[in-house]
Amino acid sequence: MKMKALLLAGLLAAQAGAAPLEAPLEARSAYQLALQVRNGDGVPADPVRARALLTQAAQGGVAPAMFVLSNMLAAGEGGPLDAKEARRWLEMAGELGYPEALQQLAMTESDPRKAELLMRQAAHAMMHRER
Amino acid sequence: MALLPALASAPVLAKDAPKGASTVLAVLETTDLHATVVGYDYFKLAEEPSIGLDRTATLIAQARGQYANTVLFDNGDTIQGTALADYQALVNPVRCDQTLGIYKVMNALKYDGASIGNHEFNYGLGFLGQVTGQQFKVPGVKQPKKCAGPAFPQVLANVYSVSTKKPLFEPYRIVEKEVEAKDARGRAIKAKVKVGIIGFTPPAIMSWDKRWLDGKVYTTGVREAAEKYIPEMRRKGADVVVVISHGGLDGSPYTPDMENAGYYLAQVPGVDVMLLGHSHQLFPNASSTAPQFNLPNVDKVKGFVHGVPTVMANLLGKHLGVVALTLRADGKRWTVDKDKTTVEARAAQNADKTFVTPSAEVQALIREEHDATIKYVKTPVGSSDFRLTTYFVDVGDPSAIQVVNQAQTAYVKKYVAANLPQYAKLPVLSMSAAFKNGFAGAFDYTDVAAGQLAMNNAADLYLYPNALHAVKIDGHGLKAWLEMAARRFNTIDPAKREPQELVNPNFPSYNFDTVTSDEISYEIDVTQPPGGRVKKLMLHGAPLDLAQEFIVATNNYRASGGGNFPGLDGSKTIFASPDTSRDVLISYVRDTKHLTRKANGAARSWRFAPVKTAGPVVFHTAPGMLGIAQEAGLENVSLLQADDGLGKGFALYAVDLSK
Repeated sequence: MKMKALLLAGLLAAQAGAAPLEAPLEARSAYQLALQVRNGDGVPADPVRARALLTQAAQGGVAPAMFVLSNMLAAGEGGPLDAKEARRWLEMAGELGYPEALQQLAMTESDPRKAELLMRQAAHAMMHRER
Repeated sequence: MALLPALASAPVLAKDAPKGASTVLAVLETTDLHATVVGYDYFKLAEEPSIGLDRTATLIAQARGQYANTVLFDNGDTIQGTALADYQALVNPVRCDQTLGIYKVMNALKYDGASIGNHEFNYGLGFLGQVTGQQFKVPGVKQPKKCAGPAFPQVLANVYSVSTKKPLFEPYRIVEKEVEAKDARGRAIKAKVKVGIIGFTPPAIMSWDKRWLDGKVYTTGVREAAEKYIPEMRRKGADVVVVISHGGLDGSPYTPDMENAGYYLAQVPGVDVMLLGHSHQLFPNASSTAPQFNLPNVDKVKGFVHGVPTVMANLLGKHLGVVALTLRADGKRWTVDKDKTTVEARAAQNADKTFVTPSAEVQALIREEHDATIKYVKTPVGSSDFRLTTYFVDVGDPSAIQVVNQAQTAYVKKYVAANLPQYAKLPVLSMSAAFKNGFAGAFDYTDVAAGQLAMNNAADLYLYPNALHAVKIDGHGLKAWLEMAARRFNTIDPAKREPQELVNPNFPSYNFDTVTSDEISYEIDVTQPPGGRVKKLMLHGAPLDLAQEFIVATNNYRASGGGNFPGLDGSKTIFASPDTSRDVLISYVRDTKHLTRKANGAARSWRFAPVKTAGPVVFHTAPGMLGIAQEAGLENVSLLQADDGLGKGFALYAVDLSK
């Protein structure tokens, strides 16, 4: 029921087997800073830099960063619109079991059967989100 | 016929595999049943003939009528996936002395074995151990007593107990099957075939069900487990090795954490038949364009992977896998005559689109659990004096939106008062959108009748598996949010005489967030380009101070950046609720008891900015619903064509923007 594990495998290898949601500190810091920079929260708003920082965080395995980055790429925020990269990061976040990404994949899936499966995965992932 | 001596036609019981004997053994597979014992949709409370083991049972009976010798196996993802499953696991948990509904039915259908899917772990090891009649020896799970379980073996070779370092289930089983065969001279004989079954599940269960499995079990790679045990099965005399792998095909390079490892399993020596599942596909399938079915050495027409007959029977009982093996005996054991093998996935749907008759026996066996489940999902939680629908949500009917917003607002207000005193003075708003708004067809709308409201209605009113989140934003953020949502509409040219489509289909309904509150009002001016449409934004009747801060109740999808709404990217979230949005709604209805149109379905926070257009402004929704628009007070809506002519069953309506 999950998509191909290829992307995930590469990512996990880079992280030396760390749990997907436990990205390295550096990546998590980049993510936090990226949100501040994106929103002008205590620093000047700079979408280009925000995108760069989110890319760094996403490459470090931060699923929420992948999701926001995907949205920025799809909207052309902070750089050129890149639907392909947007989709890639969305799928990657889905691979990591990020519920919002799975939901997005489900909602945009035209095959109702696949959409339902993805939504089930999103529901499943939500069940496991630590609260 | 009575004249024939009885002995002449009675099969001779010979030794297990007499030299020169032959037989045909059909290996039958079900997979990913997901507790779909009968073809029924528990949220729609309606028969659903396209799914259900009750119809697969008919296919099983047909196959047994066709082949004298059959073995029936299930691939897994068996016990979870319907309200019936939740009812038996969570609401009214099955007792130790009771057999879980689907296993009871499978016992009656005389399954010969099964594997364990990833979803078997969803309710935890305690429940799984109980209903499978196991006594797991894993940390933190006490199972002193063996409970009622399936009457057939369940095999799983790649999940191990941390405590014992042994497989959690037996890794394989050699099932001895008495078969009708022909001896070397063509006489009917009885013989025995030893069918070895071995099961695998995706190693990723460790992350999917981490909370249940972490520190209790561990997994090995699927291929590694096959390489370890299959030679052992052969040594112990298995004539035929049937691999039951809860996974599909994937051509990526093999890794021990590979989820769909069938492509590599087929290359392990000693595999005679491969039964697949998990990826909810149909194999063989000549018309499939799935890349994994077009890999080298995959014959998607005949159903072979690296020469191994392979079947995957779709999901929810829609198909039955049938692998017919011709076996020949050499005096010691049986071997498969590979050239004579046939592989099919037989559908429960007939060529004329009807479905096979369901098994009355299966339906009778599960009747009690089925009825109890229906009772559970129908348990009234409240009532409504109006019909809650989304047919006209794009032109302002809040009837299915407002109660969601009210539920979310009430929940967040309560939470803030108790836990976030620093925000106690901020207004609390709520945003929500219609999730069912015709995307899948003219039937795909929220439509809850007036009268009693039950849990199944909550799923119609809140389709997605979201959790309630709250964000803190200011007036700028609120306006930007509403502007983003207003992209739902095309830009209308008032001078144009031709019909103009109101709704921009590229901006999905689930992103058309609206407020439905007496506190806030605004207009959407569709004659303006996106970004400049929200006008007359007022709080309590006065123009909104853009510096004013708000708490807005929404869902995790939006709060985390879904739809790319300005400023919403997780950074504004002040509260992530442990409760799902649907549960929040159910509790609200339970507390409110009686919803009324006036209090819960008539708030018009937004209207279109009035404009006279030269031509009609049109939109599409289900036919025959004009009365609903009128009941909602939308006097500016009219029906243009009962059939919009686009072939998807929608009607064409117009909205008069001047009214």
